Amino acid sequence: MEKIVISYANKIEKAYIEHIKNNVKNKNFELIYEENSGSVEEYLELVKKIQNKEIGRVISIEEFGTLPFMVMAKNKGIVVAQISDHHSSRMTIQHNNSNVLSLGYKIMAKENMVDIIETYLGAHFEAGRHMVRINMLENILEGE
Amino acid sequence: MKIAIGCDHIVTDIKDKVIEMLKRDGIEVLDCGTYDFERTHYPIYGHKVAVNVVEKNVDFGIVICGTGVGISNGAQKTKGARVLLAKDVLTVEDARKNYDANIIGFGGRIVGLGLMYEMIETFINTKYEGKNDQLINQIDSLIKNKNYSDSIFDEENKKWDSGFYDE
Repeated sequence: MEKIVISYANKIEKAYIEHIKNNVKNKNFELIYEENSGSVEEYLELVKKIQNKEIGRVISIEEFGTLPFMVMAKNKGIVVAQISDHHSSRMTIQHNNSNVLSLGYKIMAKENMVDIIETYLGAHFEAGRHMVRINMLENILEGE
Repeated sequence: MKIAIGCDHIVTDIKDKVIEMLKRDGIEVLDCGTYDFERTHYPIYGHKVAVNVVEKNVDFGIVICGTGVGISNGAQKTKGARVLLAKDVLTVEDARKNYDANIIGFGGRIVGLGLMYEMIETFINTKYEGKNDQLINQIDSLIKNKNYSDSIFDEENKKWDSGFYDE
C-alpha cells in the first residue's frame, strides 16, 4: 500500500489537525501523520524519502504552503501543488502527477482541507501527452 | 517596473488581458509567450520567465496555466527563482514579506481577472522585510547549476514532434 506522509506544522491548532485526522477516510493509502517545525532540512528529508521510494507522496500543511513549495520543488522527481481549491486538487494529479500537496491552514477552513486531501487521494494521473511536460520539468534539473 | 509574463496555450487570452492591465498601469511587460492557442508545454514558458527574472532582465515574473501548478513548477526549478502559486492576497503578502518571492503563479481556470490583478498589485507593492536572508540563500543554493539555457528542452521537443507521446 502506498505510504503518504501528512506533515503538519507544530504551530497548528490541535483541534484543526484532529479534524483532519478524524475525517480523511481514504483507505487506499497508508497515511502517516508527522509533526514538523518547518525547517528546510525537514522538507529535504521528506524529499529524500520520496526519491528513495520509502514513501509515495507528501501532504504538507503549514501557514500558507509557500516554503514547502520553494524548497521541495527544487529537487528532482518532485512536483509540488500549492493549491487551496477542489478543482486544482483533482487536476494536479490528472495532469501534473504532483507528489507533494502543499496546503496553507491559515487560508483554508478545516472542512475544505479535508475535501481537498480526499479529492487529491481519489484522483488518477492521465499520463499520455502530459508525460512530456513532466519529463521537461526533469530536464530543467538535469546535471543536479 | 518591468515584468516578465508567460503562460501555456490554455490561458493565452487571460495572459493577454493581464498584459493590457499592466501596460495601462505604466508597467513595462516582457511577453515570454506562448502567443496563441496551439498546444504546447508549460515548462518552456515557466522556465523562460524565471530566467528573465533571475538574470535581472525584469523585476518580477508572472506565470499562468490552467491550475498554475505545472507552469509554477517549471519556474521554481530554475536556480534563483522563488515562486508562489496564489489564490488569495494573504498568501501573496506573506511570500513577499518573508521569502522575497520573485515570481507569482496563477491558475487561469481557478482565479478571476479581478482577484488576479489584486494579487499582482499586492505582489509588486509589498516589500521583503529583510528578516530571512539566510533562509533565502539556503533556498537559492538548493539548485547548484545556473540552468538557464532554453536548449534543455530540445530532446523532449523532438520526441513530441516525432509523435512519441500519445495524445
